[in-house]
Amino acid sequence: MSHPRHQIDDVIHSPVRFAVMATLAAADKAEFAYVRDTVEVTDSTLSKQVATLENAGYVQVTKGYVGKRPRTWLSLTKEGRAAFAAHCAALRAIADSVPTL
Amino acid sequence: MPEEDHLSATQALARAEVLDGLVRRRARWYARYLLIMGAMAFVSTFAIGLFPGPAGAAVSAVLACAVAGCLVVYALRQPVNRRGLAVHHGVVHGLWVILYLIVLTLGLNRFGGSLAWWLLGAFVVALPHLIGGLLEARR
Repeated sequence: MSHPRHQIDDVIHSPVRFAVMATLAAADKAEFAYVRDTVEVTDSTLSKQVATLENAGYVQVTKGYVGKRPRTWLSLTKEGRAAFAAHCAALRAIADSVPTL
Repeated sequence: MPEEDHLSATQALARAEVLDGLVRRRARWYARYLLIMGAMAFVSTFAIGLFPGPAGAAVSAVLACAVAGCLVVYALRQPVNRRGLAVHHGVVHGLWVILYLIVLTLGLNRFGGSLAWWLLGAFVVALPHLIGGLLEARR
């Protein structure tokens, strides 16, 4: 169980969820539509993936208004930030290890 | 399998770096915000010395309210705030308030008729936003 592969977070490992987490890791908060366009997915796909991340306690969803326009903001929770950092550390360890043929 | 792991880990890290860069670029609006705020701080402080009495205070207050109001709307309409913006914002505005109060208190009590004081004071008051804006633009 010492291989860094075992440190990979299954919730974050999915490509879309990883991209969402990476986008939010660079931000205090980001608008739903911005994350959707940056990650290049549809509204429904992002909603599903965000729900999974929210259930895991990694992402916080905040709804509000700017003027009369409804807005949804996404941000990483403290646990989400820690999980993403650990996941990236595991990826770095794998990437730095020399692949055996 | 280790080869696949190695490749997918490298690709994921590269993707994360690209996304980080995209967020940083989109969050550069905050540099514009700070530079405009700095210009407003300079002009509104200098106006107090340039137009002594209630006229200067009125010009300064109207200008400050108008520009700050527009900047609040501008900030609210942005889709992303970069990591650490809230702390940076608090530090810059805290320094601005402290410097503004010092320049205003000394200016009104000791250097009321000195344009040189108000020019220098306006520059000092604008410094937190101008330095913050330049640092932000270089991120």
